Amino acid sequence: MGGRHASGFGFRYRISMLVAVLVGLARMVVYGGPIEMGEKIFKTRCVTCHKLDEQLIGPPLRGVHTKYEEEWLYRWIREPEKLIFEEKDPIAVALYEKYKPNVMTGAPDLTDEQIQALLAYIAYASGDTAYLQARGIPLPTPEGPQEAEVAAPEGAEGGVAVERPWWRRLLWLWVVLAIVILGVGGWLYSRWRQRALARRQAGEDVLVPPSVGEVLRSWAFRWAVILVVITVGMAWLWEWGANLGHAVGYAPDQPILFSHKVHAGIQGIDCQYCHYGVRRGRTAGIPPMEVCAGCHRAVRKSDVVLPNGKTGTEEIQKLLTYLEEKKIIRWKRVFWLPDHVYFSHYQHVVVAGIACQTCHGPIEEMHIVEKTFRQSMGFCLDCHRTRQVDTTNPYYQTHLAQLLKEAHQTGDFIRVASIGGQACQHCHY
Amino acid sequence: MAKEKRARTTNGRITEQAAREYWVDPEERRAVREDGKQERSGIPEEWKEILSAPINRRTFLKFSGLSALGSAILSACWKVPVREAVPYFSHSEDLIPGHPVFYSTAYWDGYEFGAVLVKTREGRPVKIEPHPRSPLGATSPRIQAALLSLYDSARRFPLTINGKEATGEALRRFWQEKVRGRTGEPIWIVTSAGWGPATRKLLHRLREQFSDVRIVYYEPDTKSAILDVHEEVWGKRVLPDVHLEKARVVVAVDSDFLVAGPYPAVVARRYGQARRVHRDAPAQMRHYQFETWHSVTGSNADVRRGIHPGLRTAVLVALYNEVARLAGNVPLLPEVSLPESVLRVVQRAARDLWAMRPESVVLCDVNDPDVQRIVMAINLLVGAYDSGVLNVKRGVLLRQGNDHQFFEAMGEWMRNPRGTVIFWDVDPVYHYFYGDVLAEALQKNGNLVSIALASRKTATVQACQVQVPVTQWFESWWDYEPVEGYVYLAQPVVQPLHGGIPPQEVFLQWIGEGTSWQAFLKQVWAEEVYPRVTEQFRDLEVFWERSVHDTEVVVAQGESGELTPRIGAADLIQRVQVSKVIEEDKPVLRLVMDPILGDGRHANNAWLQELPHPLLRTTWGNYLVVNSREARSLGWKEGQVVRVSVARALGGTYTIEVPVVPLPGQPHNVYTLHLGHGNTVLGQVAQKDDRRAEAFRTYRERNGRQYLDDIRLIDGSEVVLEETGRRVRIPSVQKHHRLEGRPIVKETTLAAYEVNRQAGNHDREHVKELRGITLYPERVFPMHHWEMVIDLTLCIGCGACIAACNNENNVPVVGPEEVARHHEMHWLRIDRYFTGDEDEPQTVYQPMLCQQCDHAPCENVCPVAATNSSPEGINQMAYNRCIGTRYCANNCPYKVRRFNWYDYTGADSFPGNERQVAGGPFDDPYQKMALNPDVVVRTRGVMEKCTFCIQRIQYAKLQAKGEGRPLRDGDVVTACQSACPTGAIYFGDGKDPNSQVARFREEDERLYYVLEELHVLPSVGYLVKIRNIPEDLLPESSEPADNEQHAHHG
Repeated sequence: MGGRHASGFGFRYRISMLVAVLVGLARMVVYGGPIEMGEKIFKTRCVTCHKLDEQLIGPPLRGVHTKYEEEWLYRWIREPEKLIFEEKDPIAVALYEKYKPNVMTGAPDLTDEQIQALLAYIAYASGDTAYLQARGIPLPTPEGPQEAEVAAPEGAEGGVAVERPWWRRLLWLWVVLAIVILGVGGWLYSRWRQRALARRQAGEDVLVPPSVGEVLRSWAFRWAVILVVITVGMAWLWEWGANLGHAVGYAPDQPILFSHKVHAGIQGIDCQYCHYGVRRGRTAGIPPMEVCAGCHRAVRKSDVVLPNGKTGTEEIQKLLTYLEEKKIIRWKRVFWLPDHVYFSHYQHVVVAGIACQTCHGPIEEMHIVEKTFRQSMGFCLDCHRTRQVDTTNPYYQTHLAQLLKEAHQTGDFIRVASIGGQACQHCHY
Repeated sequence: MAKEKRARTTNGRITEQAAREYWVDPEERRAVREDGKQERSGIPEEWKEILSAPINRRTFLKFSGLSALGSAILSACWKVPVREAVPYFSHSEDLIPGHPVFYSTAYWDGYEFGAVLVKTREGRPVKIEPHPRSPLGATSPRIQAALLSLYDSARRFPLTINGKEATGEALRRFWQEKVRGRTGEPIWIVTSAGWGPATRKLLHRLREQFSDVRIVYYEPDTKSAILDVHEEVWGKRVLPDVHLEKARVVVAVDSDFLVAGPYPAVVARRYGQARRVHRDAPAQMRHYQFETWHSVTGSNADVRRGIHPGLRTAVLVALYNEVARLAGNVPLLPEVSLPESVLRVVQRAARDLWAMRPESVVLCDVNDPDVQRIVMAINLLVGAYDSGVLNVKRGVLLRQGNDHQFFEAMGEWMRNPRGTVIFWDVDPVYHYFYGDVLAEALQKNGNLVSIALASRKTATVQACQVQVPVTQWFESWWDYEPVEGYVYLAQPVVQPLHGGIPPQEVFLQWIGEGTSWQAFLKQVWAEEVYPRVTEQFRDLEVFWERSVHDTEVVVAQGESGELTPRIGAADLIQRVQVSKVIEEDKPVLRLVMDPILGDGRHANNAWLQELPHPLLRTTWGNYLVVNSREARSLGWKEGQVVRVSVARALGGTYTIEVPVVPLPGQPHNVYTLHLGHGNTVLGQVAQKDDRRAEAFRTYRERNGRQYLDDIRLIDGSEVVLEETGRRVRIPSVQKHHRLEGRPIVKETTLAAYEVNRQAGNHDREHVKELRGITLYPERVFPMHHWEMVIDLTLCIGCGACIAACNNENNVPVVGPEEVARHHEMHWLRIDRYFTGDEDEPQTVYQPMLCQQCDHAPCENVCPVAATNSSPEGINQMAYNRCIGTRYCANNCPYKVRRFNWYDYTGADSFPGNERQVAGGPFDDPYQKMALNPDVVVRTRGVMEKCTFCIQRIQYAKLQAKGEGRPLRDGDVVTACQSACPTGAIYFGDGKDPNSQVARFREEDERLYYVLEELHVLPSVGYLVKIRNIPEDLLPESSEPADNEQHAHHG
């Protein structure tokens, strides 16, 4: 044995290596590898101004990982303004001159690891595997980085699941069945009546069923019809009344045809970039006009042809006019809840991590936002009854300790409804 | 034939008549039909009846209901109502819609000071909270309700010069011509004190520019005599800062220090610290009170004696003599005679004062320098100034009102009207007893220029030639120095709502400074405050930012070293001239500050008007308080209207008709009226409270100086009291005063508690045993179980919790007529019970709110399950499900459910349902902004009640989840809890074993639940009230420690 040195440190070394590997693996599981992580950062932070190949507000980023020195890139990403205005770094000033008046928004909160991941993603997307190999960055799993997953609600086909009653799904079958039964039944009945009539004419004392006309004229039949009409009418009224105010299919024309499909879908801008209220507040909020201005002072052209036949450029021009005249756009509200409902976006999006589309539908596919289904209390409760609580949150781990233990024993899950998700005053106060 | 028939069938009735002729009986009808020749009517017999019957109420309702439903559906189907979503133009980092932002600032309305946090939503203030870090951060009901005064649109008035609307430029010209032009003539600035360095500097500049500027401090709640005597003894015109938390014995003589004063809530907080009894080392400050009416403070005393004003000086003389005898070597005052029952208490109090010196103090608010000299002598003898119980080193700079100075100025305006008088947010026309004479003088005298700078349209504003609307607290920058060395920088939290510019800006214009007020303020703070605190801050910018952020800056004191009295007690007592003013058997009128309305500047605040008087339990008005036993002997019942009039020295009489309220403990032959009412010019709400008592005040002369006096002899020549024979219904909230023999409130004495921690709560053992016997299954609460504990020892009855609750939960105001019908909507009430002798009762205040029962009796009887129990132990109320049967309210043993008999809030879609409460918060579009956006406004026909501030619980839980941490004890603070100045209310998660409420439940023997034997499992516990009554002064009739409570009819 080589003395204390080898034995003592060796063990600790091995343990710490093991821990490091485990932590790394755990992170891989949580975040994916560095390339996945970089992709995520790219899609949430950079994509508003940059694309890989096209110039948007800022330059295209393909190959940028080798275009500049790595150290400089790190500083530039974190504090571009300082480099330009305080230090008058020549490269930075040149970039500024080219793209002014826009200055890149710094990201001082990104860690070294995150910036490295971001550069790795750019390298990967640029096909520069040598860069990755030189840094020992593993290539992603065979499928490669996916397009940002648009979380579709479970059970939904082509967008949003609209729960129809079972009998309505098979309506055509019912109609056919009814015709067959009526036809066959009527034929059998008339045969029976004819035979009975014939036998009576022959002098036999038999019961003759009433004719169809007699049946239709009878009071019993009339009452039955009235009963059926009222029952069906009421059911229909109920259904109609329940839909009142939910305005399913509501898709008003907005002052500007702002296309969510272009912004959230094609450009892949994160919802929270504009609806930043989600991050802290109860409401997601309609972005202040200056958020629009932030990009559209530079982005003034778009070739997309919108459903109203105009091009994006024309719609952008409308926005620029608003901005110039300092007028406020009065959008028409598509989604709202009544005053007696307290709904917090922060709770649902940040804490529970629910995708926007779960309640709003596939917004990123819509040029004109449409309310595609009923946001009723039943809709809320259906989700609360099935969705599991995120028990990794220390809040739940502490306060649900007892319930978690029981759930662990029975192999059950803790659902939102079992911790108050169905209590009246958790939403109505 | 057929043609004729068709014509006739257009009228159903004719057809039917025709049919009846043929078809009399069903058999025949069928026969006819089979015949096939007759036309069938096609209408069933039953329908015919309906169609033919004359339209009665039932059929009308049936059809109208059906058609209303149909039309509602049809009309609703045509179009989706367009709702707009209007974004902000520019981006503000702080402002996230739906997310509250708190601003630190200070509140000073000229009557009351408080450091506060203002909660804003989308830029509008929605709640006022006490400042958690400032020593002056405590809130009274007035500060809690001040939000409504902020939004009050009745305070708006235009800038006017001699009756004509004018511009700021015209005002500047007016000043140049009319004021600056007349050099040498005096300028009076009448204001209230408490200004900070920048405002003082401004007034100083004004003084430099004009030769004769006289600043007159005017306060309706005057402390003139106290200031005079402090100036005489300490050489400083300050009030002592009363640090009751350091005191062990307090003897108060006619001092309502818990609810009146420059910052009563702060004093109450300190009082609470000294009164709180800790289980492991029980100790409690002892509180004696001698008073000439029944005050809220007196009702909290351990030993209280109601005395006739004729005996007041005698009590102090006797108290002084007793203390002087114990001290020895000091002269005595001439002995006076006192009734045995009072003398016994005075002697005991004196012994306690001496025994506990220097942690003992005498407090007295009598506006008479001779009385104040005696008080000062006693406090010097016991060393109250040495121990810091009374602090004059850092004295109080508020309430600098100088009666003599004001009376002199008044005299000059009348006799020799010249110069200019500026009333800066003071209202002497209302407050001063010759206000009408003053108003006339101001309007008549063209030589005397009168200018009013005011934040609301007061009587004084209306009397002045120049009327300038200015901003008030929360609307612009302010600086204050309420206590020496404690300077406050109050930032604005909202734009001026009703026009108006900062008053300081007006002065800056007048002295020709070009800067804005904000720039001036910043500069003065940089020059005068910053140098005194340089070592605490890195640089000036940091200093400024921290000052704005913290509001409060503590600066080193100007004069260092010991402050010593210029005169000792012995010399001081030589100067006392004891004079008997009033015979002790004569009836007197005693005027006192209203414990809720204060001095009346908030009289247009509907929240305050509907807040019940803690002792009288009355709302909306001024009432004549009479001893209950005396009222019986006079044959006066509650609501008996009495005419009170006064013949005035300057001619004429002033008369009001006021209903009587009998009150146990009120001294005999003393009739009390409250000041602060009848300020009707303030608006619609104030007009409902029209009995002004200010005109009954007078003044007395002492040592050649004048002092305001609040005692009038009812001798038939000056003040006259007559019966009118009428009786009215009083909007009172407590009609039932009996406990029906049930242990609803429990109390004990400190001595008994020291021996046995279960004292006063012995019966709970038995009730606890009963707890297990039940048919109900045991409830399981997976996450939290919200519980509240209220310490009855600490509740002083002030009502701050009710005001806070009203604001937080959008509780409607219903108006006096509705309160008289017991339709008040307060979710939280403070029940008041008396015990003991009717003339010397002891009072218990018990906050009563929904007890959030785990087996709630209200839930079982709801036919639609609109009220049920949440998994967190809250008895929840789903308003939208409620159909208004009111079964729940009938089945509630605590009577805490409130029903919306009318649409008090204007929330109903049918305008006919609304009940307009004049000037109520929902009547005024501005005041609607005071509504809490996190709580829904309830409609007519819906039951409501305390929710344990569910919105705050949900918010705190959400913040914890968002930050990924467990909920900590203290994260959820209910509105009543945060408002309570004494800290009597505890709230938390009972499932957290370390929470305060869980510790009380598990460890404190004082805890009990009201009506626990019903097995409704309430979540609100109460701690037995502990009084520190000396053994020898215990009431003979009962020992509260063991005997059951019995209450008196009040």
